[in-house]
Amino acid sequence: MLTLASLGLRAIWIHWRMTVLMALTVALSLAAFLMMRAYHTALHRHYAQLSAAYLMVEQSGSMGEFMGSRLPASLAAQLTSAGASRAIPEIHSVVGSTPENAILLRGISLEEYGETEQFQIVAGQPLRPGSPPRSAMLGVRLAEKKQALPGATVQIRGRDFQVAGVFSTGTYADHEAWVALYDAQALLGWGSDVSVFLIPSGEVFKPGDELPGGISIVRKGQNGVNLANEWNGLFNLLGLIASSLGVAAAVALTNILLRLAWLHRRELAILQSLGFGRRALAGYLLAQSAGISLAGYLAGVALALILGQATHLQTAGISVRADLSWQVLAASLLVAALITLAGAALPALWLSRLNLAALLRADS
Amino acid sequence: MKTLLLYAWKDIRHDWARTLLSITGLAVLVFSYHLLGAMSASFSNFARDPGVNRNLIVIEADLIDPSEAVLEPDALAAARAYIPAQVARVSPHIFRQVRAGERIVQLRAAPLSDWEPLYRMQLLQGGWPEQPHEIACAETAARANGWTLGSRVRIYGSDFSISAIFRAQGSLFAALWMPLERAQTLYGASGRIQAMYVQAAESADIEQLRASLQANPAIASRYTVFYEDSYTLRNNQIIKDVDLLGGIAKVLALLAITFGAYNATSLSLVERAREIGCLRALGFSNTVTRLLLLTRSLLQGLLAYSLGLVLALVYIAASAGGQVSVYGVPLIFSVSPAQALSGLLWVAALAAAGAWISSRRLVGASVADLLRE
Repeated sequence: MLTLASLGLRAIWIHWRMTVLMALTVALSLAAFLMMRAYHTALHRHYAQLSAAYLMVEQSGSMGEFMGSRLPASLAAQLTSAGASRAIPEIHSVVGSTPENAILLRGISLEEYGETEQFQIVAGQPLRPGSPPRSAMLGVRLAEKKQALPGATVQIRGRDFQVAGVFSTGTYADHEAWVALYDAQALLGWGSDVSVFLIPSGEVFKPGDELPGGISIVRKGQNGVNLANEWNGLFNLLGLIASSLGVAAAVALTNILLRLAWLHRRELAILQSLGFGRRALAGYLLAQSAGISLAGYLAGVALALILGQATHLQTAGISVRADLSWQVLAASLLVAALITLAGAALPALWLSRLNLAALLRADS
Repeated sequence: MKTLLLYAWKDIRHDWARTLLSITGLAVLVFSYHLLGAMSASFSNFARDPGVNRNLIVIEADLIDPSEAVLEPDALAAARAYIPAQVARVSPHIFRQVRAGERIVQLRAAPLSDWEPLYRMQLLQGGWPEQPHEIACAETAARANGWTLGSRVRIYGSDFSISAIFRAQGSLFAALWMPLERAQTLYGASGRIQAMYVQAAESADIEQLRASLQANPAIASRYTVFYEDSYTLRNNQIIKDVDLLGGIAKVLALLAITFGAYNATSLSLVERAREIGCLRALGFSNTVTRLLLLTRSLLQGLLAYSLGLVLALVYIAASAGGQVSVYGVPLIFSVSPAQALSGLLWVAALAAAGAWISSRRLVGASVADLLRE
């Protein structure tokens, strides 16, 4: 078996031009698959972070965790009188004059935000009760974009804010600027209004509850899940296209292997007459298929790395880069294995049905 | 020519199994190329401005999401003071992104009397909303969501029935529309006006009007006055990266077609060394032999292209083209004649190039060598 596998690999080495072209075809389909999966993974990692501890009260039908919700401050008293132990206000908005310079703004209650949001301070200090007005904490991605370290001044909606600290959450919040709730209210001219209230889960309110005046209760993080799911249609389509390219690569591989087997029919006939069975011949084809697919996989990963570095998805205030994690690489290796098997199956069947010895006699 | 076609066709039919394999591989690539082309065109349409017109938009400065903007009554009154000398109409506008079922859709509201003259909305089916529970739907949103006249849509806890399907310029009009007063009733205290559309009078200089509005004390400090097309273009920049990714994917598919067409052609030719040797021995010239191979490749490419195109059209029709939406705006896919033609030219050119390059060795070889293969 090993002998035939090495002979198979030698055959593709001899026909290196054909092998390179075929490997590139496989590489293109795998690169498309990798890019699609990498962006899909990155989008869900950034957005889809459901919280078990908190529910969110927002304007019905809005995406309050990002923008579009505005509630009166008096709602907090209604929520607590209805049975919620706390109602923590937050403001979420996207400010800026163009999508390129947009900033995700979060107004936070300085006394309580540490309990509702998991974050790590990368540099400087977190905002605390008593922090000077017009102080901000920047998410690490936003700080990189603005090249702002603690002590620097950044402009948010035309006003200067001093950077107190830089934080990291590993989610879309890394693109946010956090300021005190009262600063956000003043910045937006909202008076005492807020975007959402966070209330502890497991109390009187449940996700899906509706309150009078067009107010809904959802799980904290649900907006992010919904937003990520909004892109599912696009990713499903890209997935279909990547699958199509994979099918095309498998068909092309089948064609190549049939061609190589035909070119080497005399050698294979001799080997068959020497006692090498059908399994060994299948191993010969599988080795060729695997060799080409492996080369295609490596080239596809290299191409995806280059494309991943060169591109990013920039929506208002958030930049998502392709996440070529080991899971994504493993999934694409599985796809390469499927292409290998699919590409070798038909030639192996054809070869097993062919009487090579008779063919050898006819040829001679 | 007829003889060439006949020979090529017979050859394709003779080796039908391999031909089928080659055609299948190439057709799948053509299918992918057309889907990506349709997606890319759809993004381009999305980003296209609604055309130069005489409309201005006044909206709060430094806010990306228009649904968070608030337009105060004094700004509205300031703009109305320009009527009739410089301004024909001032239309207060409510904008929301709402969840209708599982999808996010745009909801817009403006006075019903402005819909046709200012927003250029053209009624296609039904009648403009008259009853409190009636709303209008853009044809793109209707197609994407499978809505027809009479379909029920739940918005902000209330049920509405679609009474009109209309067409309007620009993808931002792919929305549900309701009369302004109905939206204000629906949203109650939170039913604030987000922006106003100002239509310049026929005799007015729109540039002067924009400058004058921007300098107006009731507007200058808090709002920005945009030309409608500039504002739409600015907002649509949010999808330019997605468009770029679609473009990259299209290039990948095109490269795959290049390799696929070349491989399919060269493989089928190399295996025909002996047959080509026979033809040469019978007196066929190199040129005629190459033309025969070229014709065969073109026929094969044409068959694959037709199959791929049909598959793409069937898929687009079956999915109603509305599976993808961006920020509540459904993207409608279609294969334009220009795209279909460019795809055909690509496949034909690549198949011909593949045949020509891979036949170089065959026509250069001696008859004896070819017959030995």
